[in-house]
Amino acid sequence: MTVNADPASDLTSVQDVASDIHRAISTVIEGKEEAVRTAVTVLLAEGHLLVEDVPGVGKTMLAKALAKSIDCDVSRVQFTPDLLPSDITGVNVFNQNSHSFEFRRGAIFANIVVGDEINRASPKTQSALLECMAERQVTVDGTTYPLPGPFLVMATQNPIEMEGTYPLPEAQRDRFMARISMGYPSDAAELALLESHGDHDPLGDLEAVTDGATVQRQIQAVRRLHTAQALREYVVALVTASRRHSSLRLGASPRASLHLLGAARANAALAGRDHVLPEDVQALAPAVLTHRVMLTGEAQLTGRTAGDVVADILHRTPVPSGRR
Amino acid sequence: MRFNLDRGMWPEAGLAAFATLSVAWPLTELLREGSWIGPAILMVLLVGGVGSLLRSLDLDPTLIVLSQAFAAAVALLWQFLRDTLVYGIFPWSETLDQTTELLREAGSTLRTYAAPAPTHDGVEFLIVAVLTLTAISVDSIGVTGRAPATAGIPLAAAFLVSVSNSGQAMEPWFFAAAALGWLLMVAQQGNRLVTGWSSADRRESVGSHDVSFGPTGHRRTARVLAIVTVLGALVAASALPHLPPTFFTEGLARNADGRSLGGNGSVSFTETMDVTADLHNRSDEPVLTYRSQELLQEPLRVTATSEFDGERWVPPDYDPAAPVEGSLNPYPGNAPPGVADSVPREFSEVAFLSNGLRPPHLAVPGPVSEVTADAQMRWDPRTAAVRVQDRVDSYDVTFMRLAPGGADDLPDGVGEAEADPDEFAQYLQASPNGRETYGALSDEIVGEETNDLVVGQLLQQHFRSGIYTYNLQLAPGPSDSQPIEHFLTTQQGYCVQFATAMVMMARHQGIPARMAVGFLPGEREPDGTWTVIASRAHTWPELWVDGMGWVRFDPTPGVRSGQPPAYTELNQNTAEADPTLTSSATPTGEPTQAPDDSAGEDSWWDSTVDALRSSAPILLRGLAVVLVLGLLMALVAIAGRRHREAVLRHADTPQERIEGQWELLKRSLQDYGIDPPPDKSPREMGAHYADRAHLGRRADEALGRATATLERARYAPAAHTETSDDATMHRDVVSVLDSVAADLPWNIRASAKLFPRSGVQYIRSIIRSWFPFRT
Repeated sequence: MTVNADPASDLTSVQDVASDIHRAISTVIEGKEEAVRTAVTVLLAEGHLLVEDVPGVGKTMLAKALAKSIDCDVSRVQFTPDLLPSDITGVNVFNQNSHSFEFRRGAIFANIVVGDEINRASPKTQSALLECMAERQVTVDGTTYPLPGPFLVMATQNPIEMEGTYPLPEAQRDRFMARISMGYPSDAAELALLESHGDHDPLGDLEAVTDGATVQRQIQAVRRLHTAQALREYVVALVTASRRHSSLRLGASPRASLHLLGAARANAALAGRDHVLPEDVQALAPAVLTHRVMLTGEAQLTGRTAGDVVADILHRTPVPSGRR
Repeated sequence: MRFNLDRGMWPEAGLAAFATLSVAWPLTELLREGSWIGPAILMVLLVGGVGSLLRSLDLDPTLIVLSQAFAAAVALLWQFLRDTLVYGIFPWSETLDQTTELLREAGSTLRTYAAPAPTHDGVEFLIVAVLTLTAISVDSIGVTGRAPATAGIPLAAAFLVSVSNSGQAMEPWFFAAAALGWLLMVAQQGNRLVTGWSSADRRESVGSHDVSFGPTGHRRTARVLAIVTVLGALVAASALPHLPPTFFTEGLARNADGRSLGGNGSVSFTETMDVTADLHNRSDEPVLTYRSQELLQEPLRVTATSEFDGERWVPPDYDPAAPVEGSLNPYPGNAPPGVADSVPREFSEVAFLSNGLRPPHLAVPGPVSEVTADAQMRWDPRTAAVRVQDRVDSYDVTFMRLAPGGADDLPDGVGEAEADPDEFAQYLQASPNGRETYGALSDEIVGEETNDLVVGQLLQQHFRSGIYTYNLQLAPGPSDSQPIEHFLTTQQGYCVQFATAMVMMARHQGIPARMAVGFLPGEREPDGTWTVIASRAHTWPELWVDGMGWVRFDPTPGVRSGQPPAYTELNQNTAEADPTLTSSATPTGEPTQAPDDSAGEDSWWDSTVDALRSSAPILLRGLAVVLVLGLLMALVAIAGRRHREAVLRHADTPQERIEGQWELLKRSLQDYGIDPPPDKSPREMGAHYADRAHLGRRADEALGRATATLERARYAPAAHTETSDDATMHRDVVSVLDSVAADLPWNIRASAKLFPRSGVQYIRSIIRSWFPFRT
């Protein structure tokens, strides 16, 4: 894999590829620009994406479309209560011919893993997946197998109050860089959906617009993006504010700081900038922070949502000027 | 720690030293010898040199000040207390004792002496120490602290000490030198600021407003401000009333008779026979207070002398009679020597309520009939003076008024007989110094007249005829070496010159004459008592006239003059025709009153003049208030500019300069009434301003550019900010400010210029830093 030395041309290609992916996904999912953009951002920021919404709004479609637009290994796991951890990670099987155990890879060994309805699996299986997500490697019977890059887990889940679900524990939610909701499409988008899905499967027509190696290169370029001291201070200030907010029982973790800065970097790269602005942080903060914080009982009773609180934190936290 | 000569700020240190020395200049007027000057210059230069050296090493400012103080202390000890140092290095208890002794000596000198005071070791030590302290404060505030404007405070304090203790108006150049020293310091800072600015990128001027933001604008403002300040100071100085100096409660100027060591009286002429110093005394402390049934016309006589050494009067030798307790009657039978029995006498009583004269002197109106006091008194017949052992706080005097009816009361043949030359030998010694001049003049005045009384009258009339001017300042020339000749030539002087000339002229004519000293009757207080202050000191000639004894004349014209006895006036007609005589007849020393309304058509003019005169103090006070307000406003305006440019001033990197420009924009817009945005991202702050300010298209673009530049400086890699961005940013900031100002009503624009919020904020922050209240 060659790394392009010129940051400017790196950025141009990041922008080009991202807009290609964007366009490709848009042929399948209409009117969900924000969700699509966040998905691409998370991909470039080496994070994992949690798509949460009621059934039938296109969560899986988004995940599949993103996976298909990139020419790379894609696997899909439908999480069910009887799914076992070994189905995810893989298992050592005894080969009668060679009289030895050989490792049969699980679904996690792919560049993009689409985990459907992740909250329907048992907590044990969820844990297996989430450990792989964080460590980017799989350990089975003492042998460690690295996972390929790029590696993106896109999990979908139904809201926790739906029946037959095992809600994701906070510690595990924290491993997802961002959570997005799809939301119902607009009338026009839904009408277009009916038309386009009438005679053929648009997903079947979707062609890959880039490959895994290119994406991996761009991830490297995003990593090198400049972040000023003042900006890092801003990220820390936001996360710290969440820990002190009166409406929150649990604030965001230091991992949240890392994820927020990474996501902001990707956002800046998507805008073709070689440095990160407070606006990048602000744009991603709701997606990155809301699923990590827990509201106090009073806040829940007054009908506040985590989104409200994050917006409040964004509004109140001063942006450091970096001046001494 | 790297040595950097430029960081030492040597020129600034030199100017600070110059300023310190220039405020010390007036001290040369206060002290007789200049022995303190050398050590003082040495110390001031030492402080500046040490400061610059340490600044070159880039030490901590506190350390620099401490080192300066240490070096100064060492040098001070070495100069003044070297003998007390153990091994010539370490101060010891003896050093402390000696220091205390020096300070005590200085204190007693300052309390005792009138300016100019002798420069004893103690005074020298004190002056040099105070100047060293001033130099350290000026150097540390003005140079190390880079606030030369504030360094004006210690300078002004030192200057005040210097000028307020002389007891008289100082020459303007003392003030000019001090002001120049300070202004040079301020100017040098401006100069450094300007030369410190990057000259790499030239920029085009954008509109007329732009210029005032550049260094040129600063210089012009500074120039105008300096001129206004200096003019204001001059006007204020001339407009404000002269108050008695109170800087040292018992300081130099208050203590007019301090020339005689150990005394605590309040006049000096009793010892020197010279009232000059007392006439210049500005103290309004009463020397004497008394109560009298009638308006006194007689001066309060203290003593007299007959000996003149050619340049000044010599104090007399006293040979008093035996002491008397309780009541003193100097002339038994109320017959003063030489007064014919037929001369009618009238008696008056005066009760002295307080007495500040040092013993053995006592002031009494004369000729004295009786003095009653709870003290031992002695009569000195030669000087006709009452002497007391201890200070007498209150006493009563009965005195005679000879021939109250004027010339009609005089006996026949008065003044006809000549005095006995042997008996009055000492009163007939006409000084050879200038005798040709005054002799010839007296001959001319007297003509063929031989009657001693008439000769006296003629001489007195000559001096009061209006050709002489009363002035406490003598005309330039040899007034010390040829006092009489110089006075008669320039025809300008005060009582000493008039009296001396008349005494000498009388002696030239063969009339015994002596010089009496005392006080004019003083001012009447609302409670009916009379108050005599030191500057009411007076001196007059007394001539021996056969049949009348010692007759008091008063040749001094004008306001500070006594009224001579009626019989010494030549004749009523002459007196009335001569305005000087009528005016001089006011014994209170007040200026001549304007003629009353009966004067005819001039009255409207006079009343106008009177009205103007009476309202003048109000006008002047108003002017002073306006000036003070103006200065305050200038202060706020300067503070505002300082606050607005504070960040810019401390900026080094291009990024910091851009932050500084943004801060300038923020604070200037706040002066225009546009609240600053909370700390938000540059774009949000830009949007905040775009919402609130009415910007034209160009200014809107400029705001956008400025925001983008700030964003780049803050968040992009340093390489993205170029040096030219600073200039562009500045142009954009000016453009936005111009556009905002153009839309504002004039009163908001004016208040932003003259009384900016930023200035108030800055001053408030300074005050808060002084008094850190916890709320």
